[in-house]
Parts: sequence; structure tokens; C-alpha cells
Amino acid sequence: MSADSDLNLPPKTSLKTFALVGAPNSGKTTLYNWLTGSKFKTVNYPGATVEYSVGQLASHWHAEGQMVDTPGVYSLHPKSADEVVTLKVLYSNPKVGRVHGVIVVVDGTQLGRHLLLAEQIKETGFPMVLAVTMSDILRKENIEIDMNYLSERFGCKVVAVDGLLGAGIQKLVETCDRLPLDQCGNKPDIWNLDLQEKKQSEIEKVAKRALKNDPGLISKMRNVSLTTRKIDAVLMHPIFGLIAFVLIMTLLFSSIFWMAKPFMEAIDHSFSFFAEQVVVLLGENIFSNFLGHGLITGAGAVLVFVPQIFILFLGISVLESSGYLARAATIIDKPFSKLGMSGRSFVPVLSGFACAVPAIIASRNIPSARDRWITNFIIPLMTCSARLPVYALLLAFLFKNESAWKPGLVLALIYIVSVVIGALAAGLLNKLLPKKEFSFFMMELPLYRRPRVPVILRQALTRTYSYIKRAGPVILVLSVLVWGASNFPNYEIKDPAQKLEQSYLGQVGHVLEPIFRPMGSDWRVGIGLISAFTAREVFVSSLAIVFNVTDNNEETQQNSLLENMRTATFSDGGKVFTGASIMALILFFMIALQCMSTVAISIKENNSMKYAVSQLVVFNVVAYVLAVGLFQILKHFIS
Amino acid sequence: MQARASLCHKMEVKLLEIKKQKNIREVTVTDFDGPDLVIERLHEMGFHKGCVLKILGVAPFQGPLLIEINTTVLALRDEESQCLLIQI
Repeated sequence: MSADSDLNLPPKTSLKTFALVGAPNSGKTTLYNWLTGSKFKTVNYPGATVEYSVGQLASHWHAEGQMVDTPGVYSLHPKSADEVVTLKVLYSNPKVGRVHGVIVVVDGTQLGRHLLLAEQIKETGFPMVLAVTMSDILRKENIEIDMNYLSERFGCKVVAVDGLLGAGIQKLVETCDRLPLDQCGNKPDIWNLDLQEKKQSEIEKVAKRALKNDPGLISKMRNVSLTTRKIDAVLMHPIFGLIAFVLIMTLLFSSIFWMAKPFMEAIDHSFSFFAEQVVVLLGENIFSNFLGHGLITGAGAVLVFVPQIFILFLGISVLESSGYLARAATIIDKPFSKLGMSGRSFVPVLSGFACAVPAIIASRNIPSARDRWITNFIIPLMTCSARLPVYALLLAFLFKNESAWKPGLVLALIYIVSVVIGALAAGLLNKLLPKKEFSFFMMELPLYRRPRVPVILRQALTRTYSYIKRAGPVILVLSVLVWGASNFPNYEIKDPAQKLEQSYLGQVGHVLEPIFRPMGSDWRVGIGLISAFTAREVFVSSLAIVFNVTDNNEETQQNSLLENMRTATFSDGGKVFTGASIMALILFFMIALQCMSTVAISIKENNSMKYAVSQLVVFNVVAYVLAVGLFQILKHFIS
Repeated sequence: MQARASLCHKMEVKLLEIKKQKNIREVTVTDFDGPDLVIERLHEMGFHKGCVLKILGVAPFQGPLLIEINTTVLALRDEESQCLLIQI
């Protein structure tokens, strides 16, 4: 993948620009991948969260041109955010300039449905080429397409391409190169329902004729989908389908934890080491401290999520390319629709158990704005991996010297309760939010295909890069701000605990103590809670500093911290940490939105500061009120 | 069952009704009835009067109806499948 800067795209007007337009699952992205190789970048249509890809033709095709991969559409009359972007790319695209020609991508096994879009584009007058994909499947079943007839009917060149081996791509490039590009496309006419009915029937006839009215066509076409039907008999079965669904999703989401862990640790350790080395090399001074513990540690906070995000998107890309993702969404649609979401919300919500940041990015393929809104709202309620170190510490406090199954059971309960809270929140929002638009599901279940490694790698890399580009700067700036707030105004103090107490952050902690007190916490816990806004797990390291734990060994650090927590008292002599206050803290962490990365991505993805701020306020106020309520009740029963 | 008499005296019902009947395998679309936007999308997905649909089953949790149109398998929610009038 190339970054914007190293692409060095020529000025947008000097290159001929072709837009690839086609229905979802038509093989458009695979074709785009063949055409551009690694020379591409992803861009956002201004004001929209939906991305599309722009790339130059790969040099081995010996032609010049700029390709734009647009989100899949069924027509030029848009009904979702993705479809609106495709239309805007064609007609008003400030980033890539005028689109000179359109490559209409149609699946050769779906001519009767996909040619309707070709008909619409033909009407606009855009210079176009028809690229018929899945030619490998057609060849295998001896299905012939009358290319001359299609060419005559649509008044353009028609090229068969094989997404698996790349056959036909050179011909497609040459055809595009020779296309007369002097004509601009007109805005599409909106067909009324009668005309649409007429057009669809007509296209059906065109498709039959293009397939040479083959009498054995029906059985040949059934052969095309035979394997898919056999697999679906199991994967979409009311019982076996559910079992397979649980197994596949468990595999995907457990891999986010175990596969990403060593990489995350490596990044974390590298940045910590690098930060320390900078301080050692430049000497202990304000600049080295800022560079090491502010800037480099902040950069580490951005990059530490990259392995999880990459693995998650790699997994999603595999499921998407193989054809299973559409089926998973269908399986879970019913229960999700009861909560105001759709089956498409499932992967984002489940991804929230790893990290809310990639989860919110993954919600982009939900076409309904309302469904996407509700989904993004509840994602931060899922128990993300950053909460685990916090729960580990708090449960270790609660279950000192007790068998491991007890904290394990409570941890499982925390996960279950977080799902219940998420479901309740979604159900409540579903009741409160007015339904302005019809929420479509109408999911096409494509043929099962073996995913192409370059395509899935490219998709995963693109989405990961998108995370770094979108959330990175905000997280970095906020990390530096927290560094400043925890080091100043008394930077010169040597003792870390004393420095933190007298810092702006510490002062805020003291000022806010009356707020933390009703939930059983003092100013030190308050500092931990405020610091946790950089990342939830920072709560543990902040407590370690504020409770003056000097042990650097992670294993023994927790024991030292636990000991100091057990002896910590308020000024009146009462214990700070009790069973009641620990449970209140757990409840607070379950609901509170303390992660600035999530807030940053929420602002960007929802294009709304108001949305993200409301989310921040609602979650934290509700978390606080419930934590206070729980503590006030439990303190009479648990010491 | 919501039905209306058709010219050929066969039952014209909403596709949604099929969900309850396990023995029906093939139906023909006779008309559309519902919000324009849904009907438009149904056309875009390949439905038209006279097209034959194969009923494949129902997704788990009594979810979307699974149908085959040409060689494409589509999953339709209840709200969507009730916009299609069919003849059994």
C-alpha cells in the first residue's frame, strides 16, 4: 500500500480517469486490484465517511490511467451512504477530477440482474466498457456469452475477465486506452416503477439472448451454484448453521486476542524502550521527557492497536471475500433487528470486544444511517481488551488467596452483563429514535469463492492505514496533553507520586474528590480514572504511580500495588478500597466511555462532534450514577 | 391469509406467507405492493412480474426468507418479502 505522499499522482487533469462501477459482489474490487497492483490510495469523499480507492494503472499494463474503485451499487438512484458516494464520484469529484469513462463490471453468472445497471449508465452517455467477470466459472460450465451481441446492444466494447488468473485484463486496459473520452456523462434519469418493471423484463431477455438462449442453460447455471447450495445446506441450516456461526466467530475473535498479543507487546515494549533510550541519550531534561514520555509514548498509544485492527480486518476480509460474511449477517439479523440494528451490525458489535476503534470503523458497511448510529453508540459498552488489566487488578483485590474459578466466573459475568447492557441501550434507542428511513436488509448471498490473498491483504492494510490516519493525530495530541497535565506545573519534583499529586492532573483529582467520594473512591483513584482516558489500562499504571509502587517487575508490581491498596485510607481513617468500592469501580468501567481513541474515531466516523460528546456524557454520567447507587447500597452489606 | 383472486383463479399471496408453509418450493412473482423505495430496490435486485423464485428456507431465529432468483440467493426480511405478491 502506498501513502498519499509517495504516490506522486500526476495532476488530476493530465490522466484519463476511469471509474469501476458495479453491483456488490460483481468482482469489481478484484478487477481493480489486478489493474492497479500496489499503486493506489484510499480517499474519502469530502463530508462522507465512506471511502473509495484511487490508483494508477500498474506499469506492466503499459498504459496510463487513473482507476477509481467505487462502493457497490445496484442502480444510479442511491439508497445508502455508499451508493451516494458512487454517484458523487461519477459527477462531482473534487479529488480525482472528471471521470472520463466508466468500466461497468457485471458478473457473467448474474447477467439478468447486473445488466440493469449497465443500461442505466448507457443512458447517461458516459463512454463505457463492459467488463464481464467470473469468466473462469462460465468456462468451466461451458457457458458461452455472445460478446458481439452485448457490444451491439449496449453500444460499447465488452471484455471478459478472469478474476482468478487475470486473463482479459490486458485487453480491458487496451480497450479503455482507445475509448473516445470527449463525452461527459449526463445525470441519470430516475425510472418510475412502471418503466423499471419494463426495463427489468427487457434486460432479462437481453441476458437470455446474450447467453445464446442455451436450452441447457438452467442446468448449467444450477451447476455453477451447486457447491454453494451444498455448503449452504449446512451453514444456513437453522441448527447446524448456528453452531457453525458460533465456531467461526469464536475463531475470528479469539484470534484477535492471541494472534495480536505478541505483536502488541512487541510494539509496547519497543516504544517504552525507545522512550527510555531517548531520555538516557539526551539526559534527564524537559525536552527529552517530552520527546520520550509525551511524543514517543503517544505514538506508541496509536500504534499499539494496529495488530488487533489488522488481524480483525484481515479476518473480516477473508469472510467477506469467501462469501460467508453476508450469510453471518443473515443468520443474526432477526435478533439484531429487534434492537433496531441489522445483521450487518453483528461484526462491528462483536469486534467491540477486542477494541471499539476498529469496531466503529467496521460499521461503515451498514447502509442505514439509523442502524449505524445505534450500532456505533453501543459498541463502547462491549468489554474491550483494554478493560481486562483493570478487571484483573480489581478482581485480584476482591478474591485474594481464593481459587481461580471465582474471579473467572465474575469475569464471565462481566462480559455477559455488558452484552445485556448493550442490548438494553440499543433497544431503548430503537424506541426513542424516530424511523425516518426504511431500513433495507435485502442481502445477496454470493457464491462461495476462495479469497485472493493480494485482495484481502490490500483490504486489511487499507482499513488499518485508515485507522492510523483518522485516529492517530487525535490520540497523539491528547496523549501529549495528558503528559503535560501530569508533569506540570511542578516539573522539577523528583518523586513521581508527589509530582503527580501536585500536577494539574493531581489538582483536578483533589478538586473532583467530592465527586468520586460517593462512589467510594478518593482523589488517587480519581487520578487513575482521569488518566484512563488515554487508554483504560493506564488506570493500573496510574494507581501504581500514585500509590508509590516503585517495583518495575510486572508480576510483583501488581502484588505491591494490591498491598498498598489494602492499606490505603481516607483522611478520616476509613479504608479506600472495600468490596463495595471495588464493585462500584467495576460497574463504572463497564459503562463509562473513558477511551479517547474511541471518542476520536467516533467524531470522525459519525462526522459529528455532537454525537461523540453526547455519547461521552451519557455513558460517563450513567456509569457514575449507577456506580454511586451500587456503592451506597453495598457499603451496608460488604466491607 | 391475505389473498386476492387472480385471473387464473390461483391464490395470490404475499411472499411472507410462504414462511409458514414448508412444502412450497417454487413461486412466481405477480405484483408488488409496498413503499415505492422497497419496490424500486426489489426491481434493482432482479425481481419483476413473472419471475420465478425458488424457496430455499428460512434463516436461523426465524430470520430472513432465503430465496433463489436465477442463480442468486437472496435473504429477504419479513418487511421486504411482504412487498412481493406471488402465485403458488
